[in-house]
Amino acid sequence: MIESWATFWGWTLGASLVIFAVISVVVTIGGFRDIRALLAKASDNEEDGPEGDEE
Amino acid sequence: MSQFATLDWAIVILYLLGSAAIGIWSRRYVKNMSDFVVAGRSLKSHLGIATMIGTELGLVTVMFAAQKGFTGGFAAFHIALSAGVVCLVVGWSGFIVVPLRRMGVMTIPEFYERRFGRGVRILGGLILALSGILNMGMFLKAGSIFVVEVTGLEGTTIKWVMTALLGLVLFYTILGGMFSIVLTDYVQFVVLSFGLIVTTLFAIQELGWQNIVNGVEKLKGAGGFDPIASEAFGLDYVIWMIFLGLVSCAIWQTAVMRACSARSVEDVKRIYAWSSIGFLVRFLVPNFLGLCALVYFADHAELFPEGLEGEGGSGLQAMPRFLGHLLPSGLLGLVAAGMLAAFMSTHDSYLLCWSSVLTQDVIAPLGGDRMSNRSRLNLTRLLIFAIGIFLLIWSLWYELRQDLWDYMAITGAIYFTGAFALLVAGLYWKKASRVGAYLALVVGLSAVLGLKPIQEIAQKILGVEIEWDSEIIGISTVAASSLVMVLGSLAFPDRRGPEPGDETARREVTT
Repeated sequence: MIESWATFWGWTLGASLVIFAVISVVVTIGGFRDIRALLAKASDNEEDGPEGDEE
Repeated sequence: MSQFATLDWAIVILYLLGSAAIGIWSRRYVKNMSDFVVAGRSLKSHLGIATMIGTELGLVTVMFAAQKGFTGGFAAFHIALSAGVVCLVVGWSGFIVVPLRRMGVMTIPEFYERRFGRGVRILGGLILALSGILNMGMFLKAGSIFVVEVTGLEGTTIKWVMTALLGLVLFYTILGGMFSIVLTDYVQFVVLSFGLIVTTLFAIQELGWQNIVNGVEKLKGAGGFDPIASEAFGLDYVIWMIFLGLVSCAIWQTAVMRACSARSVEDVKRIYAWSSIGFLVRFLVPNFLGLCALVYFADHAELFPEGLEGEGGSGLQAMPRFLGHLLPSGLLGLVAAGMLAAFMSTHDSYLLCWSSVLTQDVIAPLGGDRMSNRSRLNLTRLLIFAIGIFLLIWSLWYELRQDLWDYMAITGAIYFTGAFALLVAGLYWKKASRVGAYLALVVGLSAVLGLKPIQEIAQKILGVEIEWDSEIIGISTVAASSLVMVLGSLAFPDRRGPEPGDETARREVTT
């Protein structure tokens, strides 16, 4: 019984680490692109005019 | 003795200075409340995932999850599994988060107003902020224990470490709002995610997988693997964790803020589906490091004289002390910087979240919504500072007499037990009424009975012995709040017509 649980948790940990590593690489690269887009948009807004009052 | 050396200090200090610089630089992009609170609602999915994981994978999460691993062994993994699976289901189904995003609300109390009226918003906002601030109450202490243990500093320096950490977070959160949080969260996600993966592999290599399994079996028996058979958990605890999995991703305001910040509904679903692995790993890896600490200190008892039972909160010290002994200099500095990054990423988001809830959902509505945008921004910044001071005092004063995770679950439950009933009924049941909403919020407050010091006070007043487990209190409160929501709505349906603008929102959110 303990052996089955240990195997199950071992696979859970291993699979999670592998998927998390892949996601981390993808998100690191994609997130960098998103930041550039976000800041570009914010800069455009900054040039558009003074402080707005929208909520 | 910790292996923390000059190189590690240099890495940590450089990292902290970099974070402060981002805060100053981000100030130029903040023009209004929307920029400050939800970064202009322009987060794309990759960045959304990074910031969501960056926020939810905080140092306090690492600390309490490691404590659970230390006291519960592999059986603690069920907490991680519940969180990951439930988040994935929310991502696939869009349960709660998609209709909230469609409404374009910034906070959950804003939803309360559109569905149930202004009074519910103000009461709900107040309860949410109270619960959230109490929930943050132990963050500083947990962060400071980590720093002291991993660096090998004297225990007496803990309050100074707390003050310094708080000062840094306040500095860049007040300046940059959500823009600085998004940017620092991204950097923190990168540092911490890779740091945790490397640390886990390092721990397995040093201790050996089979030795870890054997060690847990020797110390905990079958209960170290099977959560139902575990003395530390049991069936009721597992059910409570599944519910907390839903709360953490779909009801807890800081996570919902990410949904509200997303560019589109499709981005919301994508962020949640992909973040599910983050919700899994944020518990799983620290759980594992905690149980590694257990096995390590079982063989090196002289390094952990506090004892392997983890009583009196000593389980919190185990994981950072273990890392201090396990990791070589350089890697230790990187991991410490990553963990401090995690500390700040959670702290800044939470500070911004609760202060904006108080501004937008309590103070501004009480004043008839006549506050200007600039006044709201300044008030939010002032509240961030005030909450920070409260947290420092609370961390120094409050004596933690239960596992940190259980403290956090029960302080959160003061809000989310009522919020669960309001959100589910409000979004998916047309008959949900204002009276039902008030009743559910008030009944949810009774979750405070799960705190040990409150139980002791109740024990003195009533003169009877009270020993209620937090999971029993939590599950009972959820059931009671949901029940009064239904009964209150059926007994007291909304009679008068909705307030202007309510009907559109109501049609939109209940279809």
